[in-house]
Amino acid sequence: MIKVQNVDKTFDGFQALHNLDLNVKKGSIYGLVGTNGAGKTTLIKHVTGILKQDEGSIFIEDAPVYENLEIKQRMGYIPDDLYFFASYNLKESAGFYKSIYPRWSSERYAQMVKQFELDEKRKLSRFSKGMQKQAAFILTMSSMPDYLILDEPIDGLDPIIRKLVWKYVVEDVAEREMTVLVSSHNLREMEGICDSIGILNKGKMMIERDLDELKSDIHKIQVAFRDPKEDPYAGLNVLHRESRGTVDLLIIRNRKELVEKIISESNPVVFDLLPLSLEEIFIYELGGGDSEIEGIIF
Amino acid sequence: MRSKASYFSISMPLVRENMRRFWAIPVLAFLVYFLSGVFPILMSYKDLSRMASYIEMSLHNMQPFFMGAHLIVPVITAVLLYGYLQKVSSVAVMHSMPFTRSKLFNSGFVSGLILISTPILMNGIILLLLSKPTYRQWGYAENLTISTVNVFSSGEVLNWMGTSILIVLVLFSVAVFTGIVTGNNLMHLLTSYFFIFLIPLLYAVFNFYFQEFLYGFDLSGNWLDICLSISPYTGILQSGGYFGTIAVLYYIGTILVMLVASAILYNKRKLERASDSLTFGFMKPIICYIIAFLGMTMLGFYFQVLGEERLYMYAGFAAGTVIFFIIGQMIVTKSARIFNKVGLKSFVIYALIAVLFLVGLNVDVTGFEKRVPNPQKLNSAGVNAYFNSIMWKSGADREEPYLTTPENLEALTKFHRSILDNRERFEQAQRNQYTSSLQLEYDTTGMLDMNRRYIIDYRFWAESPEMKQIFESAEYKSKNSFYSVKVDAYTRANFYGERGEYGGNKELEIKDSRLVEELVSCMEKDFRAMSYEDLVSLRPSYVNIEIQYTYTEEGVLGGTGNTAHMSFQVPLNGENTIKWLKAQGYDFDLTADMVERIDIYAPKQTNLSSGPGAAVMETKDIGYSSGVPMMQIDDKVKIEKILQNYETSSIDYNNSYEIRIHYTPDMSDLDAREYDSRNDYYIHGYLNQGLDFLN
Repeated sequence: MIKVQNVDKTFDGFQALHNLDLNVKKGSIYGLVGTNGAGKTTLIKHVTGILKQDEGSIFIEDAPVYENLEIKQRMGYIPDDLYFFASYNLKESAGFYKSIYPRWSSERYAQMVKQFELDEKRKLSRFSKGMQKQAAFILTMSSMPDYLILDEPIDGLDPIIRKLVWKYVVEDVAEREMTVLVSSHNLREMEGICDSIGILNKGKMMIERDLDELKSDIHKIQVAFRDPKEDPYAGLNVLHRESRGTVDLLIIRNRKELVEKIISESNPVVFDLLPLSLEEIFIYELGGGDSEIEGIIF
Repeated sequence: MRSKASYFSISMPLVRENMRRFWAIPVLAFLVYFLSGVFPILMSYKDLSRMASYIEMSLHNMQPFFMGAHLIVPVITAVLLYGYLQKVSSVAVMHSMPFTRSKLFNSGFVSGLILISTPILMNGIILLLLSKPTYRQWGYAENLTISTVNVFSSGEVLNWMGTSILIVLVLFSVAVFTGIVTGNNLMHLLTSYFFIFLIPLLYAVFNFYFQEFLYGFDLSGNWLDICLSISPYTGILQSGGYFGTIAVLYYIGTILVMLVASAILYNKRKLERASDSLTFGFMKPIICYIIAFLGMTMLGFYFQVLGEERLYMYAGFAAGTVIFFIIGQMIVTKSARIFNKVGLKSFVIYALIAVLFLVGLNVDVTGFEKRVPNPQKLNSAGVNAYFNSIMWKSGADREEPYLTTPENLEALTKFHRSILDNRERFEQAQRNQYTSSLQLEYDTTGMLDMNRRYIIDYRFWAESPEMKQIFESAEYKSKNSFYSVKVDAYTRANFYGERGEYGGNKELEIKDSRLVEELVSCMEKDFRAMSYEDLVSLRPSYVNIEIQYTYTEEGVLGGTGNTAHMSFQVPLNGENTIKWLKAQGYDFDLTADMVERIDIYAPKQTNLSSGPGAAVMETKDIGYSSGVPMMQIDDKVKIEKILQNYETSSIDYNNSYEIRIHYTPDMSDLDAREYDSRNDYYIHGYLNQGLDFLN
């Protein structure tokens, strides 16, 4: 389990992380989303023990991460900005990884190289950005990490490779209880794979919940009444409301059953209840004023 | 819990990987050492005697390729090994791997040690295997001289290995330190060389200031040795290829200090500062201030050329401070946006330090100018003045006395104090005076010796009772004796008279060793009898005698030894020498009968309102440069008076009269072909006491 508590980090007067909490359950996939500059990469660099927080604590399995050799041996990290030793090819890099990661699996490495169809003897610097991502993924996954930290892992990957990458991740989560923290802007993909989501904004954690719970709590509805009551939405937590003729468009944060019950009491002639996608939740949570939401969500 | 031992842990896989990644460094370094050092030896291995000098130069690290490799290899190695710290991507990946910071740092350092010392060790081993007795030799046939020093002994090779490894390790440790405190490769490289040469550079800069502001400051002496020794790179040049025990301990200490400081700073380094210029805030003002200081100095002394007054220099200091502080700030902040409160505050602090520094120099806050050593705390002392020199010996360590007796040491410090008491006299109105540089050297019982250099005028020197005491002392006479040099044989004596017709006469040479020995004996007697007034007299000499002799240098075999010379300006009262010369048929007298006339020229007038190089102004109606004398003397009585009084140098340019003594040469000993009657024979001189004595 990864536990980040009250972490602060300031860069030359700029507060990159502010009193930040994050909890990743063992054997789960945690999606970290946020606007550009929200602090995702900074947070990930703290979780991987690269940077040291100014305040707060970061624990993995109840042990501090920073300078923790034992944890680092069981952790795999793929940054957005990749780095390999100059002039090394995949095979040489694998040799180095093998020498420093005690649980390195040569079988998995061989299998993945075959599956991803990468030339082991070609210099990594000659690879395309997508191929370099694949190489980093092969190296990291072959070290059989218990904790996998991915920063924008699927950027530049084609759909087939993306599927393959997620397949490996999901299999390891299922089979080895690997814990995954992944940051991405591809919310559709995150929606399909993550168990939990944390939405980061300006260095603060805005929302951190199980994805299912998050999605079942917030709804987009279209409703029209023949004889509308004075307040047909009384008892509901209406986050946003607008009217287009006789049709009301609303975003409501309540349990689905409660929403259906209260709206049904007013005999609507039109009543469509739709769950918000993660993308829509993200836009709603971080999008700013209502007028902006209006144009994006409806 | 981490134990203390973890601070010394290394990652063997990482070291191995570093070897694999950077193998080209030791290979190239090996080739440079091998091809420039070992290969030429192999080519001449059958007869190494002609390679002896080259071997000696190489093994003493004076060989340019060796010095180049020593300078480049450790710095480039550090830049490559710690290059991962300088990029955002690499710093993240390397520190996410299962290494602690200590392990990463230590592994890099150990890798560096291996990479830079392997080529030296391998070449050293080859040189050890090749080493065989090799001696420098020079001359031909019977003159062939062979040094007894084996330049290619195993000891010499081991010394080369030791000094070379020490040099590259110190440079490497400095470059590692700069790698930790800088944030990009270019800054790392530049700062490494900046730090390596910082001390000699600052030494040169401070010398500018001290020479300008501190009365009596002398560049030579201990400080130069110490500053050159601070870096082994310059230290090896100064020490002639060997490091003493203290130097070795100091360099090892430097490596350890750099290693510990770098390790501590590595652990404190904020990795997010990768790609910045500097990664530690405390370094920013230091680098910025050094840049500003160097720039301030440069412009200050440049402006000084524009005008003699100090005001110009201070204007240059101010301009240099502003320009180079801005440049420094831009470099350390890696930004052009430096005009803010923080920058202004930093500027004010620097300006205050600079003002305090200049004020401190102006008021001599350390008491440097007034310091005169306690004679009881001196081992020895020396004084060098460059007025007239009546005797000279080639190869002698010092031209002037090296004093050790309490009386002489007491007299010298007293003389030193009298210079300080008369400082105003020497600083003002000396442009028209015959002046010379005077150097005082004190070998103190403390750690540091003391050196001072002053400009004094001739009269002060000639009238000094302390100098009289020293120059007439038994110690001075004994240490400057003609017999104080080691002589195998006297081989020749040459005579150079004041009268020009003697210049090319081969007969003015004695090659009989026995006769020369007799002559030296007479010279010695006269030297011993000379008073201080004789020694510093500006009166012409009777004749200048140059003695050639041979001596055997310690540590050489065979040959006829080295040739050296000594000379003596025989004073007009040097009766022993003159008598001996006359007995041998040499007469260098200049009598009134021989003189046709004496031309007297008006004194030159130096323009005191201008600088030292001011044009000479002509005074009265007749000037020197017009070539027209103000007076011509042909009266034999007056000519005799002038001959008894003229001197060879002008003491006061404004009041001394230049004279030309036109004479008829004595042709009795000369070949008619050598004498051209159309030639005008004259002797230059000065009348420093005016012309009243002629009346």
